[in-house]
Amino acid sequence: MSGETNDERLRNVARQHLASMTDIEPSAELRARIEAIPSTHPMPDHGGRDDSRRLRFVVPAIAGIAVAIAICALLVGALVVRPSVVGPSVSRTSTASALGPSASPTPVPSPSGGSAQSVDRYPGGIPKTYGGERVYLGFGAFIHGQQMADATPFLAGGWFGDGSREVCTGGAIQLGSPIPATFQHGCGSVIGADSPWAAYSLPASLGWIAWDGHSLPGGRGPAVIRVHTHDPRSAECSAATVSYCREMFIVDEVVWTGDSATEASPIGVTEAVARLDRLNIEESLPIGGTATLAVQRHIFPTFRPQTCAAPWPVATFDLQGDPRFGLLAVFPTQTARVEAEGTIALDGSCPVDSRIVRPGAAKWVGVQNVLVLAYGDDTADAVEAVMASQGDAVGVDTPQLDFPPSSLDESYAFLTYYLAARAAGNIDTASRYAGSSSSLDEVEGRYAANALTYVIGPATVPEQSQLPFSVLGSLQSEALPGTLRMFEVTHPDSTDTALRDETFICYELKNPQIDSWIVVRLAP
Amino acid sequence: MIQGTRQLEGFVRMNQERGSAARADAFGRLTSARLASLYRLAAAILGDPVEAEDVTHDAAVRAWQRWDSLRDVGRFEAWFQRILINECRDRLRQRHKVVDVAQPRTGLAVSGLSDPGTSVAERLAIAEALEMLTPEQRIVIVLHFYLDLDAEEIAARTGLRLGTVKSRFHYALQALRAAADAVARAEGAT
Repeated sequence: MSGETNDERLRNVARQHLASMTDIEPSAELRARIEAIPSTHPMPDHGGRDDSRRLRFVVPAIAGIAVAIAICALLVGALVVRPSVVGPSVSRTSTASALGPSASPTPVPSPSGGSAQSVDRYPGGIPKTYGGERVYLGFGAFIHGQQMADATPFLAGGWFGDGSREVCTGGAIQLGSPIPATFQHGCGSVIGADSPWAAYSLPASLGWIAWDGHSLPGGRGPAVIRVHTHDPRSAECSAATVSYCREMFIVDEVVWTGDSATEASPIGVTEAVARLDRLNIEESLPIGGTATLAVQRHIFPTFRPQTCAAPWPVATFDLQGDPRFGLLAVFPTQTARVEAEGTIALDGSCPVDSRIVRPGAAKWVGVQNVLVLAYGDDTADAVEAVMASQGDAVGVDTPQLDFPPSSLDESYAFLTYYLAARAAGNIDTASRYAGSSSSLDEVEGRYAANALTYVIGPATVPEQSQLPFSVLGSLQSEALPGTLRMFEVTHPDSTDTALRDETFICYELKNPQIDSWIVVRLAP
Repeated sequence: MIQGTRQLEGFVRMNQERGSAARADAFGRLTSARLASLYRLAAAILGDPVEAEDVTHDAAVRAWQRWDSLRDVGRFEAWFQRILINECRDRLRQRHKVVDVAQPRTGLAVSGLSDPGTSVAERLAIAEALEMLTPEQRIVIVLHFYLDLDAEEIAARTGLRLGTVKSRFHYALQALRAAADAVARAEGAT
């Protein structure tokens, strides 16, 4: 090795390391699990080699392309709009010719038996009642299930994955002792999905759902399911796992999987979310000498459903996690999106948080039936590229964005991301913010006291005397000078005065690891 | 070997026109034959043999669900690798999302050293530097150093543009170089 150059040596060491890590064989258990796949995982219909189905699909595809060409012809010269300047506008339209996966054409009855438009819904489109029975949403459903004393069924609503498309395996939980088959969730999805993103990102901290043979069309989507907790079979669980078994949601019935107000084509809500999530925000930061360290920002901790008047679609969401993203609106059809652009005031009828400092001009990106509000040319380009690609396609390139400029004050934005994630029950995302690690117990207490809605006061620059000694040390070593801000947060609906007020500081990190800004909650 | 592969291809092609039982049989045969190499690739990317089992299983589920998109059975391994790489990337990204920053990762055992000229400190530094790479950079590094793929092959295997592969490899190599230099400086000082 003595004759090696430094680079050759580095390559050899890396090769040796990788070789030593791969001196392994797949276990017999893995082989058995893979052999069982064809019998345990049905092949989706849309992937079949049924030529008659293909022909039926090709005709509307050609028609769709023709419509797209006609629309493009109408929109030439007006590809991008700046909604903050003008009212009625058009957006850039994707030239992608391939239609995405179509939504299920199966008509689904509306929850109340009336028209889909008359249904009382939570923001985002999940019905508040079904057949006169209350639907508990997301985090609220989780709390309700915990508070139950027996196995009485109730309705839980939200965005779910039934496990057939999720990355979650039997290895996702390690309980240390065997449990009855009913409670081996395998690829069951997590509870707490009150937004479409949460359905994929929430870890197991809130609990799991055993689908017990039930499934969703396409594996994912908005749904209302009848579930129960405290299943009598939980008595068979060991002492170490009995509380886990009791709290698990066992699905009795899938009662609603969307209606004409929530269905969208060719890009469904969950597909739109999956595509956006392929955006890669990454920056190489200097770490001394000529070396750099690549850092990624993880965007979209929460898609916050918004209630905006028609023609905004029911599926309209506030994008969280990076100030260069504003809204995501998934229209039922591309025609509906194009028609809506001509009539809605894109600059204010569905407002974004005006206190978030944005780094560029607002631009609307329209791709098929989806509209995204982005800020800055680079962001708009990246959104267009990622939305035009099939989110599920194999080997799709990942459009990439640098971080926003470090001069951008993101303190308020990051605080809102934290508070929104916590309010959605997205505890693990929220706990990424150092010093603010909300425990599930604490958030449950806040939920019970109605102390999760919030009003953020003005930003101030704190005096040294206002900060505890323990925080000052971290600030000196971590904070980029001049970026420190303090916010008083009030929870006006709180029934517990002790939970009414909180104080947070935010600052930009000198050496980012996951996020470039950090939120710290000071002791009340 | 080649003849065996052709026979298998013929078997698969014939069976694709039959029912799902035949497809399941073909899927099982092809997957089983390549399972070890696919599993090792996942372990190299993830740095964790236990997690690699989960990801290999998940990739197999996804491959089964997309079985009809496999047009050329002779390209089965490359096709499956693309699915596996995507699963690994998603898992690495998810790992960053939900794992506490301070929580150490497992699976970075530095056993099996065969080259006495390589110090454990150097290997550890490289292992840690690999952990610090972004998922996308790590995948490019593993495909190059472990599978010996060149930039064009990596681009084909991942769906990335050639320029993107090159820039990711450049930045990843810089990070590894910095780690190795730090060890060399430390060893020189002692």
